[in-house]
Amino acid sequence: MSCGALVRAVAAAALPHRLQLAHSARLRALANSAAEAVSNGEASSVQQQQGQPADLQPHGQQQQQQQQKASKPQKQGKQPKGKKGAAPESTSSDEDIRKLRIQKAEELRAAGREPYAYTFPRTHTAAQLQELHAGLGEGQVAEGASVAVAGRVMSRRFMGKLAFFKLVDASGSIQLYIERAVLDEAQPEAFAAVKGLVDSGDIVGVRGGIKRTEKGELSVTVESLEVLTKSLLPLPDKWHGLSDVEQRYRKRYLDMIVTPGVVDTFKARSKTISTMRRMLEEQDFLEVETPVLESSAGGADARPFVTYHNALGRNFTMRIATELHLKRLVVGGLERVFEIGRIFRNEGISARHNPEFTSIELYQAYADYSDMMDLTEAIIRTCAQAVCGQLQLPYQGQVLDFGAPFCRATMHDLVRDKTGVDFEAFGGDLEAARAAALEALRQHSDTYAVQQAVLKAPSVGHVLNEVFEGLVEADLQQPTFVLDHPVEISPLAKPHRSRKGVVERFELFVVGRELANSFSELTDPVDQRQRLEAQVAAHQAAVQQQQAAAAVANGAGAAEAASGEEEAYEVVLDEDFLAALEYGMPPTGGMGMGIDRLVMLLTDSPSIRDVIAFPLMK
Amino acid sequence: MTSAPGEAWVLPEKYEDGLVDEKGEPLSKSEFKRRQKLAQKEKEMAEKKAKQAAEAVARAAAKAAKGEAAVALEDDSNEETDPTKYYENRVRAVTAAKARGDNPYPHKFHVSIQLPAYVAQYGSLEPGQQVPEEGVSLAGRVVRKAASGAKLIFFDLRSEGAKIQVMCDARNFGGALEDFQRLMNSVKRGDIVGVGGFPGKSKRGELSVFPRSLQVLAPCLHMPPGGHFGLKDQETRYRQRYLDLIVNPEVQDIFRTRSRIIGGVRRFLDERGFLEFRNEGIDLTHNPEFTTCEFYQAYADYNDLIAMTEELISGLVLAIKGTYKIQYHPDGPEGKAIDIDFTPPFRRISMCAGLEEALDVKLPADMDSEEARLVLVELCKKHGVECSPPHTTARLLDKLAKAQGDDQAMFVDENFCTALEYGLPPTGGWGLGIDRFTMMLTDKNNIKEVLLFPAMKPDASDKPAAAAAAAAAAADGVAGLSIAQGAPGAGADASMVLAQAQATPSRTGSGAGWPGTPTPADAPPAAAASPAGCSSPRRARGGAAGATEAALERFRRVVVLEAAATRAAAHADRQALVHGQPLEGVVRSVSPQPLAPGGTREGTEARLRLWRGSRAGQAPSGEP
Repeated sequence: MSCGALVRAVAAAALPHRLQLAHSARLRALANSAAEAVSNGEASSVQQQQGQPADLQPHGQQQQQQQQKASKPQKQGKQPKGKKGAAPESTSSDEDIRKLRIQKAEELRAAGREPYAYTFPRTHTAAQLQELHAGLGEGQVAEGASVAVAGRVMSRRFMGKLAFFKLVDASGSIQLYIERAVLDEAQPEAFAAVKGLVDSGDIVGVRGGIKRTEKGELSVTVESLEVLTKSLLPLPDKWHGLSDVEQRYRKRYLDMIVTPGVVDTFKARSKTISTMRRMLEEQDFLEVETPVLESSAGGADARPFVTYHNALGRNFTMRIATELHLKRLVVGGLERVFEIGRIFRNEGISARHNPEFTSIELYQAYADYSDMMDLTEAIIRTCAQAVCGQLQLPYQGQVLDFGAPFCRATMHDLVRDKTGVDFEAFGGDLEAARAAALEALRQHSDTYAVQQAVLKAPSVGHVLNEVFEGLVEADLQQPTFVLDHPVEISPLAKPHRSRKGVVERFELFVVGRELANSFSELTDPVDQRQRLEAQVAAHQAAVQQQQAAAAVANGAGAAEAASGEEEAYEVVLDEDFLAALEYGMPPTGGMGMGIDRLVMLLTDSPSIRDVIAFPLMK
Repeated sequence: MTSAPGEAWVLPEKYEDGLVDEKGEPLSKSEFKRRQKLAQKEKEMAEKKAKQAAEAVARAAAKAAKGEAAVALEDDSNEETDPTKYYENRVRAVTAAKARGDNPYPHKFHVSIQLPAYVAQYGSLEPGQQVPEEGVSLAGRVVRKAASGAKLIFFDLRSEGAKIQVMCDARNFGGALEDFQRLMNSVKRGDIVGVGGFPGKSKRGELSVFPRSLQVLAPCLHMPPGGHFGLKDQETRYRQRYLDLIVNPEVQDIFRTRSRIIGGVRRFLDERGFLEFRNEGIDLTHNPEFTTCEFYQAYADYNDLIAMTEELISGLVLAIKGTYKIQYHPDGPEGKAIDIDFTPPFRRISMCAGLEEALDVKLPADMDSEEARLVLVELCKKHGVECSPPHTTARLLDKLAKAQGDDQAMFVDENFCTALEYGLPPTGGWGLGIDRFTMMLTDKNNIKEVLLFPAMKPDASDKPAAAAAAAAAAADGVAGLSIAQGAPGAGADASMVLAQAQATPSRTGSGAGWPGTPTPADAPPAAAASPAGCSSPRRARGGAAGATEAALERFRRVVVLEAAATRAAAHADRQALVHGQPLEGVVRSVSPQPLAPGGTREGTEARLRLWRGSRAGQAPSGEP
């Protein structure tokens, strides 16, 4: 029997009379599309054609999981190639399916069954049943078991008077063993109704007993089944899954249903955050909430989002860091504070950057950056242990070792080891530093952009930083604390207690990416004012330079000048923050960490979008 | 004032009609009294200062006579009183220290024990007892400084909500007396200091530390507010919260309570999510900013959530306050006190019943009828509630439930509609206004008291109206502070009422397998057949318009859950206002209905248009 004919036959048999008439034309169209579980019969037809149902197959379950894996095309012989792509993805087909399913929902309603139930009291999750009955032998029935489970129907197979559904809930999956005689005993025609009105993708609740089939599949022997939520759209093609990465992010709810591991990533994310939180609370840190909308953004050097507040009739910027408000609280006497919150930066999107991301910032009075290193290490280790159960983590083909003490090296030493240039020797001699940097960069390929940046760098510290970013960062795969940055690039950090020209600061690098940033916080209000003023001046100079360059390039038209203006964003002095420091802030260690990036490491995810449920899309 | 510079105007001793102030404008009696009081206070202060200065001079003279060192210890009594000079002096001292090569901002101070732990550990010492063999190092902010002779000086040190006395005795420091005095004179009230010494109690029984060394860790350059008047000005308190926290330590407790509430909610949910067998299917969605807590629990409905809410709220109250019964001052500390009893079960009132109670009317039994609609039209007229057409029952009810300033544009997430078409499990949604709940448990009647940095107008000199606008700003979801649209100062009832978004007839758990038992008796027959059946007051009234309205309302509820905590908050407030008890609106719970069949894409889009249309005040049938 051809695939199409099979679909027609099974569907016709299953559909209630009225539906048959109404949709015979549609079914003809669908008959060409065998791969999609569109109508009642299709799932079973496809399954049967493909081979034995899971129950009759020793490795049925494994195979099903494989089938669900996104972007893994199956072997040619297993499916009719060329057709599956067209039908389910064409809009008209989805429309047809939706109409049909709406009719089914109405059928349910007409029969007195609400297709969008209010509640379903279940007794077990799938995983609990699997664990509870792990010892049940093949072909055995669990004496006296009476359970209620609920979940999404992921596949259906009808074999005459028997049907096998795969039911998936948040914990795992279990097979539904549906026998016509049992179902019809409670209510005549119930089996036919299940066959006719329940689709793959529907959320159902069932009650019944427990047995393990001859083939070893733990099953609920269904005595009654109710549709809790009628799905209107078919799930994505289970062989192709959501191979389109864009679609995975855009329709995360589908991604979560069909792509294995996605839900686990978000569970890991939640666990990471709660572990961190519990750990800090145990150390008497107080969690606080500071404003997202600020009159001027501060605490980092980044372009902010600007938004307008109607009632106050003015612009606000969205925060680019939580630093300055948290420090005010330390001044106020909250000596150990932290905030886990969303940060917004109006910057490009990449595998490591999302315009809104989640950070943790913490501040501890009477501590310094050495204390922060210990705390950072402890946080990461505790989270890795809680989420992964181990400290040696596979990440994109390598193993990251979070068990050993993290490497600690100064930025100067790392650059000197890589290039042979000792930037401490230059003092304030910018030209000499530039020349040495260019010389070193020319010995490496693909450094044109870095060389350009070095030429524009306004200080020796900036030159050092460019060389570090260009040549060293990528080498830092295993966890490494990079210490003691130049003062010019660290406006909020305290001068080093014994070394000139550098501050007490570290950045933690893993897999060549910055994961955390920390200082012995600058508490001297006079020094702080000078540094922030210098930052504002440098920013404005850069903007002017940019505008001048743009004007030259574009012939200095008015329109071009305006567009140059758009590039600029305002950086202003936060006078209130400076005033707070003048009231006295205790010596304080502070640390900020990107939670998204940490979760990427703990879940072996290559892109930040994999760990943000709804990443920003074009 | 009594001595306005360049003016001969002087406050008369007695009030007379027609009195004018220094600008020639009429002076009210209350203003006269205020000024009189102020003048009296200033006079007293000046006298006190003069007396203290005289005493200090006398002391110094006495000491000099005794042949003691001429250097006197400086303390709060002889502090510079001019703020500008004070600041200049301190900056000069810091600059001088830097020039000497000293670091006035040390990198690190090792604290061996935090102050609250110190209090707990040594609080039971006997008066006069000292433990020199136990070394401790403590740090905190100096909030009082008082000298006693040339060799002894007392500080009050505060940190983490605890306060102890620092008893600096020159004998414990060793070295020259002059060095001791110079060090002590470098410390001012407001400074952050670290001390190394040993525990003990003064003869009067005050828990103290007896330092052997002392170090200023961060000088306070400004004259700290406080002293005799404290910091009471609300504008300053909110704008410079760090000052508020320094001067009014009890403010810290508000935020610790707030943190405990949030932590308690989190733990409650976590425990139910992962430990308890019964709710293993719980599905949590934390709002990252968490000012409202919202979660959705699959396979639960709002009856389950009512039970859960009672358990959570009453548990939190008991854990934080040690009792179910708390006192609250809705009009501020001077106003009347009310008792709120959180002992479960809470009273449950339906929306219609609430309206009936609040407006003292009897609504028709059949809210679907035209009669009911006309009654609502009349009620709106009577209470001056404006409702733009169409005057449907649902809209009228909603308006009656108070039009909050509602210009925040509703963002409708079309993507979410699509998600619904894929099917959500039956889901109960729930929200808790953390801000409001914190207000209750900390007995504050102003939302800004429980927000660390409430949104403020940029100009400090603005009038109370601006403050109100700022409160609204804070409330409107600024910084995710969404439940804030309170009516500060409004009264509250003795019991807490669960503000239900809908008065929904219970259709919980048919408890039967499909094709199981018949429709539960309490569900009206129409409900079983109509997708709108659950929302009784807003149920379809028959006919196309009715059905549209019902669909609109249903959609709206879904949207409220998904997209707009702000909206939800406003809704809770509205509900509360219906009951005439604004402070009760801390909990919102609805059973959301995913779009039911009939929910085609066209239908969805039509609803979206309707929704937007109605939001824009347009007739629901018209295109924008």
